[in-house]
Parts: sequence; C-alpha cells; structure tokens
Amino acid sequence: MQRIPRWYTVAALCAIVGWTGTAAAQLPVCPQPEPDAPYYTACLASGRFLVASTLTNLAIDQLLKPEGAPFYRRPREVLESLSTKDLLEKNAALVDFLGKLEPVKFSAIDTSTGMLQLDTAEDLRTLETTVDVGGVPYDISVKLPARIEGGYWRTPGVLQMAFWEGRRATFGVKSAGIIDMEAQIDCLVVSTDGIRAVTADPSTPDILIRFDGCP
Amino acid sequence: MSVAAFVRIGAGAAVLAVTFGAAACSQPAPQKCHRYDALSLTRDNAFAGKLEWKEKRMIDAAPERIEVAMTVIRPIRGPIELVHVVGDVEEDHWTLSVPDFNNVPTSLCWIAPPNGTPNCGASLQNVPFSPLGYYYLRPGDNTVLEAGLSFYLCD
Repeated sequence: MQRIPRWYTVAALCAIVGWTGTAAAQLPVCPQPEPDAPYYTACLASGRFLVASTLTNLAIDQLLKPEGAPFYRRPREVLESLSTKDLLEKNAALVDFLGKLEPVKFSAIDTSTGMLQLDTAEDLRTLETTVDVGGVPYDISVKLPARIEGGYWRTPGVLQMAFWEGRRATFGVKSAGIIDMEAQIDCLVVSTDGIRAVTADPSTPDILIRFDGCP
Repeated sequence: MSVAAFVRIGAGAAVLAVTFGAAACSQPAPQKCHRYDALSLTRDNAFAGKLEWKEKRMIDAAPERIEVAMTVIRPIRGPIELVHVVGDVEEDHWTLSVPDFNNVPTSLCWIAPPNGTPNCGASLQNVPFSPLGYYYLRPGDNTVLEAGLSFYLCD
C-alpha cells in the first residue's frame, strides 16, 4: 500500500524555498486509491449533492476571503442542517459531542492549498456511545488529540485533507455481524464521487463511501 | 445526515459519518471503480500542468470519464477549452459548453467516452485514453478562477 506523505514533502520544500514556487502545491496530498486493495464500503445516494454544495461553499471561502483571513466550519451546525429531527433525537450523545467541539479553522495558503486546525478540550478527547441508524445500533469510539491539524488541497471537485502524525483522530465502530474496526485517519478525500478515508495503518483497510451505484 | 459534517470536521468525524449517514458498512472488498484526483489548474500555474500517470488503466468505456471541475464567474460567456498534449503533439482538444445553472459559481463537466453521457458537449474521441500528458485551459471570454482535473477509472 502506498503511504507517501506527500504533504510533508511539500511543506518541507516550501519551508526551504520560502514558498517561492507553487508548482508542487498544485498536486493532491492524499495517496491515490489502490485498485486491488480492500475497502470498508458504504453507499449514500444523496451524497453527491450534499458534497457538491459543501465544495462550492469552500471554493467561495477559499477564493474570495481576504488574503490571510481564516474561515471556519462548526460541526454541529452542519449536522443539524442536514439531519432529520428524529435522527438527531435518537443520537443525542453524538449531537451533544459535536456541539461542544470548536469550529475547524481553515487557513488558505494559495488557490488550492491551506492548513486546517481543530483544538479539542481535554474533556472532549474521548467518546464512547451507541448510535442508532435505521434501528441498527453501532458502538462508536472516538479518540482525539489535543489538536487535529494538517494540510489540505482542493479543487471545485474535491477536498483532500492530510493529517500530521500525532494530530490525527482515531475511531472505532462496531456492530454485530456488520463491522468491527478501529483506525487512525491519515488522509480524507471528499469528492462528488464519494468519500475516502485513508487509514494510517497499512494493515487496516481504507474506508469508502460511494455516492453512485447504491442499491 | 452527516456527510457535510464529515467534510467539515475532517477526520474527527470519519467513522461517525460512516455509521451515522451511511449504514451499509460491509466486510472489506476491492472496488471496481476509483476516482483519481490529478491536477489543479489555477492562476498560480497559468492554468497548465503536467500529469505523470503511472497507472496502466485507461479510459475506454462508461462510466469511466474525465471530470473537469471549474469555478467561473457568472454569467458564462462562451465555451472553455481544455487541451491535452502528449510530447509535442496536441492529442485532444475539448470545447466545454458549461451550463449556467442558477448562478452557482462551480461547475462539473464530464468528458465521457463514446458510450457515455457528457454534460458539457465534449466527448473522448480517441479511446482508450491515457491521462498521461500536459493539460492547459483556455478560458475564452470567461473569468475562470480555478479548475481541477480528475479521472474516474474502472477495471
């Protein structure tokens, strides 16, 4: 499995040359998919439209904000705007957890790239709860570092976020007969075709949520 | 639905989104089709870039396609051209008629193989198509702020 930390290379080069060249910054920061590798998969038919809207809003902030001005995303507000009341009520612990998280800070470097950061309070660095999806219970565990931090590369069709070592979140999800996994997330690719989460441990399959071909 | 939350809180919500928004997790398995994000074309690189392509896979049949994602100031003022050069030869030249949809500043154009469904009037004429090469964008009379190229390939 290819695990090239391209973002580190780009960051190191930029530090050396004082960000005088931009050509390297125009390349993706997450590893390309591996056709023969196994993936944990899920399907979300309506995902394409939701992500398209998100990527458009991100493009507007990235391109039109004054230079040097960061922009923010609040997790709970987004969740509430996209979830049904019933789903929110059934999963109050998760909603409450997301609501307590600070906004994610995005700081653009150029048209395509930037840095992201999320500081977490000490009492919000672990979560163990059960969520209900369609009547099926899933045991969820979350372990967050004091700061989630990384770099991103984007176009109007994709957002890639590479998280630095020691600044990554770890997740577990378990449901009898359906899934049992725990993984640290190294890189996240959000596009209009789906969402791909690259795990830090090569022996743990990556996660793919497809937006087409859903049953 | 938590997909946007997944996007916005980054890895912090990855598995939460898997379970909360898309419950059909299954045992790990290889996938037939994959998206390869390749280039960003912006003012920073004069809307041009070279793509090294190490995959053996090529585009030859739907649903495979090239996706050109663009942020363009509205209204659209005529076609936008994308040129593909291999070596010194202009291999492909696509004229994209970008739909002006509700003044949304971003657009996705699919350049599809002959049996596919292009949505901006441009198709792949020469298949199989290898993504390898040099690409540049000609905005015409439009103010293009950025573009991204990706390739959707299947086994």
